[in-house]
Order: sequence, then C-alpha cells, then structure tokens
Amino acid sequence: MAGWMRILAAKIRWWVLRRREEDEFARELEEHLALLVEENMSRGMSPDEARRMAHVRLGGTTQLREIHREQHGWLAAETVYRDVSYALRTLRKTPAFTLVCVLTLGLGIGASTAIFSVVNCVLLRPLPYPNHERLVRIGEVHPGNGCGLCGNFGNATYANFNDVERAAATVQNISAFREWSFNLTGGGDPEQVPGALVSGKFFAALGSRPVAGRMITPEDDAPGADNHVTVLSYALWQRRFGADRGIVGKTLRINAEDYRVLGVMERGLDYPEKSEVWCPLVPHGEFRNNRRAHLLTIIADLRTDRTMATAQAEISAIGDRIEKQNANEDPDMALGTVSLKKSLVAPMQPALVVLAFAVALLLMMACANLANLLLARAAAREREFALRTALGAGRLRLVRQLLTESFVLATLGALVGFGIAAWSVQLIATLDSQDLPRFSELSIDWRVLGFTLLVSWLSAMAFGLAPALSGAKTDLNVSLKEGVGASRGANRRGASRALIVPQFALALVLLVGAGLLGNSFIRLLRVNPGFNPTNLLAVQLFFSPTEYPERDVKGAIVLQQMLENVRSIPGVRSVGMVTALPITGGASTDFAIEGRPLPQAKDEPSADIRSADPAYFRTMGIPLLVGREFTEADNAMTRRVMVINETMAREYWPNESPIGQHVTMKDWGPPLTGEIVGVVGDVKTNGLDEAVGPMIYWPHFQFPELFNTIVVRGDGEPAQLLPTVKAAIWAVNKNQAISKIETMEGVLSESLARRRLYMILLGIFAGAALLLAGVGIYGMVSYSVSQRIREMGIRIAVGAERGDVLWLVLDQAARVALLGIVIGIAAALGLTRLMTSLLFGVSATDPVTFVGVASLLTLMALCASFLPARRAMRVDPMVALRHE
Amino acid sequence: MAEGRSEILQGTLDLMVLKTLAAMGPLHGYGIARRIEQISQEALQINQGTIYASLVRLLERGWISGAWGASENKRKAKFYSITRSGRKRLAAEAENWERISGVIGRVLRIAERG
Repeated sequence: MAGWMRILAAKIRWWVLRRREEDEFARELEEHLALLVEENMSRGMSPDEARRMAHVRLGGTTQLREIHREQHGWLAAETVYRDVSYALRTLRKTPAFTLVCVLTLGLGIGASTAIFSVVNCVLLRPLPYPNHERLVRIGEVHPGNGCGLCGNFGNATYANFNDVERAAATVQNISAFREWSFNLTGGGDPEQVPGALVSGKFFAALGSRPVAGRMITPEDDAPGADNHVTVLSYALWQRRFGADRGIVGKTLRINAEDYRVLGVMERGLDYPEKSEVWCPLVPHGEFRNNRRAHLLTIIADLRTDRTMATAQAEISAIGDRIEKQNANEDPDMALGTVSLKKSLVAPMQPALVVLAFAVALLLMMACANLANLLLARAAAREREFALRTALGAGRLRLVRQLLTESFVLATLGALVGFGIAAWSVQLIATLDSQDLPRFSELSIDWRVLGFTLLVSWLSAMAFGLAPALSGAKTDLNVSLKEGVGASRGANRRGASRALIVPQFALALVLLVGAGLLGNSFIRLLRVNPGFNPTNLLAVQLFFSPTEYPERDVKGAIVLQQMLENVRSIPGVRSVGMVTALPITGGASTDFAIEGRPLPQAKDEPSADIRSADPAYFRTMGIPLLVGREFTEADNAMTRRVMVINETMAREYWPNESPIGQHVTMKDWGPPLTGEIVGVVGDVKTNGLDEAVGPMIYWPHFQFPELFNTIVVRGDGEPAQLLPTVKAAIWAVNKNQAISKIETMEGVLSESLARRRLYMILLGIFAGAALLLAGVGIYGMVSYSVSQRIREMGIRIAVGAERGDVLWLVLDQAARVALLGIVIGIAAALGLTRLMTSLLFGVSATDPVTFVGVASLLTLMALCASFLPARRAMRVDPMVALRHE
Repeated sequence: MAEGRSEILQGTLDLMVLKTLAAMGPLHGYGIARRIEQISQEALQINQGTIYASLVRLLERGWISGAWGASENKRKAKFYSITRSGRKRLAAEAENWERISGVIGRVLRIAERG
C-alpha cells in the first residue's frame, strides 16, 4: 500500500470512529496524568502540587485534544474548506451574479440531462432482451410503401416467412409473430390482454428464458400437435394469478377455448407491444401458402460469425428469388433486414435527432453565458487581484481561490440542475403515452448527468481561471492607479459581445424549432376529424373466433343484442358499431370496379375497409352526402351493399354518381362484390396529420369481424356511462371481455401525444434558451455600463441628454442582439429542414414563425438591457467622476 | 525554556520516539516521554503532550501500532510498539540523520576556523 493511501485509510478510519477514538484519547491522557502525579508524589510533592506540576508537564488537555483532532483531520481538506467558505462569502456578496450563474448552469445541466435521458432511454440503451445485439427484423418492402433502410417495413406473408426460414443461412431462430388479443375468462372479470401468436423459435430468437415451466418451442406450432398451449408474461402471472407456480400445467379459458399453461416468461419481457400472453402461431390449411395476407412480423438472430451486411445481402437475394417465382401473386415484393432496435425506434428518430441538437445548443449557451459572467466579474475584480498580488499573494494562491469559486458555483449549479432534471424527467414520464416505445423505462441517466456536469465544470474552471492567468500579466501600477484600464475594459467588452452573439443565434434556432412545432400542433388541433368527438364513448369487444367463427353471422347477432341493450340505457342518445375507430388505423384491401378494365396486380387500387351498423354514421356525426345509409334490411340474406367515403367517390367517379356501381373487394377471403348505395363524409383514418384515402364500409351483418368497437353518444360526460354500458354488454354474454375503453376526445388527444411531447420538450428548451439569452445580454449590458460609468458621467456633465445615454446603451445591445438573430436565422434556415417530417401544415421556413421569433428575441434583448441602461441614464455626473 | 535545554524539531521527535520504541519494546505515552527525558539526561524537557502529535503521525504512516493493555498500576493504558516498516524507516532515518549531522558538524567546524 502506498504511503498516502495508508494515511488516507487511517484518516478515514479515524473519521468514521472519531467519537470512540476521541474518548480513547481522553482516557489515554488521563492515564498519562495519573502516572505523572504518581511520579511527582514519589518525589515528595504534596498531592495538590503533584497534580499541578503534572498538568504543567503534560500541557493543557483540552488543547492537546484539539491538536490531536487536527492532527488526525484533513489538513488539505481543511484548507479547501477555508477556501470554500471564503468563496461562499464572496458569492454571497454578489447575490445577483451568483443567482444568475447558478440558474444558468442549472437550466443548462437540468434541461440537457432530462432530454438526453429521454433520447438515451429510447435510442441508445440496449433493448432488454438478452439477444438485443444480434436481433434483426426482416420485412417486406413494396413500392411506395415503407422504406427498407429506415426499418419501416411492411408485414410478411406466411409463405414468405416459410421461404426465408428454409433458405436463410446468415440468421438463425427465424420466427414470425402476429399481434393478437386474448380474452381471459374464468376467475375474475373477463379481461382482454394484448399478446401475440408466435412461431416455435420466437423465444429462442429473443434469448429469453422462462421463470417457471417452459416456453413455446417448435414442437408446439406444428399443425396436428397440441397447439392449445400458452405462455404467460411475468406481469400477468403476478397480477392475475398471484405468482402461483402451480399455474404451470393448469388449463385457462382463452378466447373461449381451453389452453394449457406451459410456463411463465422472465420478468420484463413484453415483446411485442406489451404482450401478456403468447400462443403458438399455427399455419392451418391454406395459411401456409398464403402470399396475399401480410400479417406477420419476422425476427431472427444474426449468426455470431456473420455481419449485418451479409445478412442483408442474403435476405434481399432470397426476396428477389421469391418475387420472381410468385410475380403474379405478389409483384414487386422485396425483403429487407434491419436491426430490431432500429426498427423499433425508427419512427422517433427524426424527433430525437432534433432534440439531441437542442441539447447541444442549450449546453453551449449555458457555458457561453457562464463564461461571459465570469469574465465580466473577473474584470470587475481586477483591482482586488492587483492589490492582493501587490500584498504578496502568490499567483498559485489566487488561481486556487478562483478555481474554488468556480467550483462552488458549478456545484451549486449542478445541484439546481439535478433538481430540474429530476423534476423534468418525472414530468416527461407522466406525459407517457402507450404509443412511445420503451418509455416505461425512462429515468435520469447518470452518465448523462455526469457528462453535463463535467462539461459545465470544465467550462466554469476554464473561464474562471482566465482572469487569474491574465491577471499575472496585469501591470500592477496601472491597475491600482486607474482602476480598470480603459483599453482592457474595451477588450473584455469585445469578448463579452463575442459570447452574446452566438447565444442569440442559438436561442433563435431553438425558438424557431419550438415555434414550428407549436404552429404545427395548433394547425392539427384545428383539423376537422370528420366526426364530432364530444360525448362519445368507445369500447372494444374482441369476439374470439372459436365462439364466433369469422364471417359467421352469429357474432353479428350477439352484437346486435348488445347494441339494443346499450341503446336502452337512459342518457344514451345514440349507439353504433364499427370494426375500427377513426384515427387509430385499421384494415385495408385492394379492390376492383366492375365494368372497368382490370389493372395489373401491382396497380390495383386499395381502400380501407370497415364494417358498421346502420346507426354508426349518425352516432359519430359523419354526414351522409349522397344516397342512403345502411338499414336493418341490409343483412346476410339481402344483396351486398356498401357505403364509400367522399374521397373514394371523387377519385374514382369524378364526373358521375357512384351510386349503383359495383366494387369487388379482393383481399379478405374469396372476393366479395357489393353495390354502392351511399357516400359519406371523410373521416381521418390514421391520425389527424394523415391524408384520407378511399374507404369502403360494409353492413356488419354482411361482413362480420372479430374486433368490434361500440360507440356510444351520451347526453353528458361519456365516461359516466361506462358501468351501465358494461352491464348491458355482460347481460348478453357474461364472458365478453371489454377493452380499449376510451372517449373519442381521448383518442384524438392520445393520437397527438407524441407531437405534444416533442412540442413540450422543445418548448422547454426554447424557454430556457430565451431566458439564458436574456440573462446573457443583461449581464453584458450591466457590465458594460459599470465599466463606462465614468464615461457616461462625463457625457452627461458636458451636456448629453439623458435620453441620448439611454439610446447609446440600448443601441449597443440591439446591435449585438440583431447580429446574433441574423446569424441565427441563417443557421435555422439550414437546420429546420431536419424537422420537416415533424411539421404539419407549415413549411420549415415558415416566414411568420421566423419573423415572430426574431421580434420576440429583439424585444427580450431590449427589455433585458433597459434596466441597466436606465442606470446609465440616471448617473449623477459628480458621483461618476469620483467613482474610481 | 531554561538554558541547556533544546526545543526539538518535529521530525527529530518522531525519530526519537521510533528509536525509543525499538530499544525498549512496547511503551505507553508517559513511558516514551519519560524515557526520552531520561536518555537526554533531562536536557530535553519536552512538553509531554507533544509526544501524542508525533504518535498520531507515526500511527497513520503505519510505523507504529497501538493497543490497550494494563499499565504498571494495573490500570488501562495504550501501549505503542514499533512495526516492521517502522524499523525499516528508523534505519533509513538514522542513517540520514548521521549523514546530515556529520555534514552540519563539518560545516560548523569550517565556520569556526574561518
């Protein structure tokens, strides 16, 4: 052990045990005294005399104990302590300066840490699956649909999955899954949980292990094997089954069928999309060879000895081969491969890049501001340093003191920053919407906090030190005699301006970004969704295929009874049903118009399809434009009819009436042809920011589906209707699980959650930047005024109007601010292009936003400089001339 | 302080404590102080309390160790003993001391002659 380490260890030990050690030392001294007394008495002294002399020979015990404590203590640490308390005293003397510095740093550190924690959590942290490094996603890419490189893939058909699994050598554990809903009944309320149908190697691909029982393996998904098995998530096992290990081997009612529980997966595994139940994906009958139903997500492990590039090349070659062999069925299909992580975060990437930029900008602003403040302060203290140097203070001593001051400032700033970061992360976490991947894992990232601390500490040190280093060159005589030399002051003012200009530029960039997002958001709120969302409640019912076989009318009849029941609830105005709500997306199909030449397979037009009941359009407030709505008479027995939306009518029958035309739907089982009987208004299908495409509605009796959503329009707050609505549904089938309970206003708001988050994040940044820029220019102008107070005094003395003095100061501030703003505009014009994909209804160079932000910044600059400028105006020439 | 008695330097006291412990075996603070006074034939009348500052320094460097034991009067007292690294240090310091005092002696003699 090195000597200093031994000493350090001894000191730490002493410090930890100091109470006991000090007691012991007191006893040691007592014993020493006793021995001295005995010695003295043996020399013939009286007891009193012996005691007195003993004290003289040993020395004062209190003093000794004090020395002992000091000896044990931290000599270096104590010097630091003295420096720190001196620094604190100095800082207390200039509270405004201290507060501004601490807030500047706090904002910079806090906001940057919070935002970067989000970025880091979503983008940079590894996925919580053991195989995350090597997991890849394989998907189909069709022309005009998805992009291969960004991981925004289309889903694959079972036949393609099969082909890839047989042919691919660069990846292993190739597996497919389809997100699915599961109704759990028996033991507690019926519950619908998200989950997936997975092929045999799904868990092997993720590298996940079960905590109880076993996971699904290839022997479970073969047709003919025992396919009625299931694996539960850890969370579901805890919540619904009380973490009972005995659940393994038991039978559960899932989607009205018996499933044997194979096992429980390890904690945290909820892929895909918060899954709680996994069942085998069994390719029954025709499904195995299906090349039209693009339903599956394919994942696989990259083999350890292969690179991503070789896998991409191989899979893409396999895709080409499949496409050539099946050009009639699935033309222009290509296969792409990306890392799973990339595919998960792909939708957020542009926003996160923008935010990361914002973090860097804000941190730079905070550092520049701090530098400015410290430089100004150093200039003001030049005389103090000159005096202390003249009195013999070593340069090292001055450096140390300045460093200590910077350190104390930076630490205070860091504390504030930590508070801000913790608070913002909490705030952001409450903004969580299900729709952001991996958001539940959000927390402050300590590495990020450490990084921002380091940056700000370093900048505090660097700029805090500058005066100490340059101070050494100060000509003592000049400094002492003249106060701050005019030339040096001018130099410093130049440096200060040089730091303010970029701050304004940065603030402008951030404000423009936030302004554009805010502008987009306001425009989105104004978008007409095509229906009236007030007082609308929606609940989803999943009809399990065993109870209600797909395309069987039994489900529709049960649903009809439920609708009647709900309709009779007091306070309910109108009730309807649809297979998928507006905004939330849904199924689509290729179609053909009867009597028109058949296009090539790849040019087939496509439309969204929904099934709805006769009351749906009325309930939602979707206007009927031409023809009629569905009626009770449109049932399984009568001729097939359909209602289309305005966009479809306009696109395909621009100059004629679509009523009476026949359309054939191609993709859902055998082709179905129906006659158009009506045209309704457009509704936003995939979100307020997405264009509306053609839409076909079927009467639900003619095209029943498994997922059905009941919409209820009430007289008042729709959520209050929920208990009676549930009761009305359970009166028909007590095992019917009810899920996705939402108000339509909630659906709309949720659909904007991500945009709202981005807007708030960038808004926080922009606000912080505005504040920092204001603080910066305030600091610059105050400093400049304090430096030129004599000049101002002289000007006034020789007859300048006070207004002139005010303008002199404001003019200088405005010049600096405007230069920054102009540079900022140039930078923003380049940078906001990165944001194009986040904008809606405004261009990245929206002149209104740019002008507004520039005016805001200018106004703020003038306000911030006005206070110190007013001080300059009120200078009393006599006081000013005596000032130095 | 009376004539003929010397104030002692910090480092010198450390050296003397080490030597005393090396020669006498474990001793308590009083014992060390008495021993140094006796050997110097009372020429070094130390404020006995200063011994403890030295003891802390030596303890922290690991050159001596301390343990509670019974004193001559059957009372509890803390006994210090020299450690192996303390002995090494003592040897090095003693040699150093010899060299320096030799040099100083020579310098002083030159000065007298001059």
